[in-house]
Amino acid sequence: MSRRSGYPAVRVSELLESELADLDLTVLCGGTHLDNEIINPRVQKPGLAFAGHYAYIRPGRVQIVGESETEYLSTLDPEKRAERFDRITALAVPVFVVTKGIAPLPDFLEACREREIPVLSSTALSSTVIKRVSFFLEEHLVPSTNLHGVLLEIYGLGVLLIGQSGVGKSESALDLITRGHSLVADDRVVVKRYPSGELVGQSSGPYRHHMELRGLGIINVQDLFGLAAVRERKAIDLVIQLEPWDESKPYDRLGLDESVYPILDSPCPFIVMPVALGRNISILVEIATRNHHLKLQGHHSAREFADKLEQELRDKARVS
Amino acid sequence: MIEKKTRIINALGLHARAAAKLVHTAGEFESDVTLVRDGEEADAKSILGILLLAAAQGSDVVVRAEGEDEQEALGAVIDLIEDRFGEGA
Repeated sequence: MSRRSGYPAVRVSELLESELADLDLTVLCGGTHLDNEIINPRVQKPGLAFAGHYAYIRPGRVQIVGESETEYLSTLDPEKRAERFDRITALAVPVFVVTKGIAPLPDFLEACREREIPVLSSTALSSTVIKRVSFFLEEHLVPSTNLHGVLLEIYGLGVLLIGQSGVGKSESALDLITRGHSLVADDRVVVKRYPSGELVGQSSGPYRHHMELRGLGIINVQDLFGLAAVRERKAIDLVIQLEPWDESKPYDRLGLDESVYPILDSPCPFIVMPVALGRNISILVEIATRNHHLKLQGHHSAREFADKLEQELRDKARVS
Repeated sequence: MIEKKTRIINALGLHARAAAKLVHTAGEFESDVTLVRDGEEADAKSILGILLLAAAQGSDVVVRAEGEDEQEALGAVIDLIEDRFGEGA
């Protein structure tokens, strides 16, 4: 994914890569301008523009040309058609995709070639192309970041362990995997923020589901523990920061206050867990996850305790 | 070992956040600090122990400290209680 201009963008050439192989896309013209950028995940059908209404052609969007557009265009006289093509190709269109294997009109191809807009062709139906290309663009155009940590699925929740190197993230993760939980990503977690605010993490690249353990080196978790021990991706529900125990730091003793850890400006429930010699981190992480489950179901253990106590204190003070 | 008697005077007594402050204050000292109410003892560095005392407004408590810095520890805990845990009136 290119990030050259500071905003997420997909190059036209990426449409031709293996993810969309089922669309059987080929380049009809403009092969030297495949680095044009698509910046909007929503595709458009330029039918109205071909009919002379240009206002809704947005820059940076894929334009899908189907059978209906092509049939309509062939009813226009060549002069009118040339004028429409001239207006449309002036509108910063990154790429046209012609569907159903239709041969586009030669003057359309000529206009695109002149304005250096690539035209791709697919044998698939317009509806299929729209669905597949939209999905592909949504996946690649959402904000994304890389985090240092381990993402696990624990009791069905996505739990991200963060903390400085050597604090025991990987060892705790391994412990949790042997206890039946599964690994999503170790070390480098790619996180995407979807329009709903959901943060989804996955491992980066082809080396997924490997871990590094000091003294052992690199291990393959899926080979060692089987398919059930790994997951491709998971929404992040809870972030736990492991850190060396600091005597001078006031750790939360009540759990009444909620902290959040922002990822891509989306707030995520957050716990700081001090790690001291002899603390069983994986059990603490499990309990934190169970407790978070309870909170999601509307039970807040710490608040319920505090409320009960306050009631008792009020009653007692009244009697005395 | 030294000890001093005082009274819980803040409106809500030893509620959760007050107890957390007390535990935090006691935790700053090396000495063992104990809170006694009606003969019931609680380690002032244990949040649950303090909460379970359920000391309401008007309760008499004894603060006990033992260790190298017992003077400072006792003073700090007594100050906190008498300052109404910083809650104002």
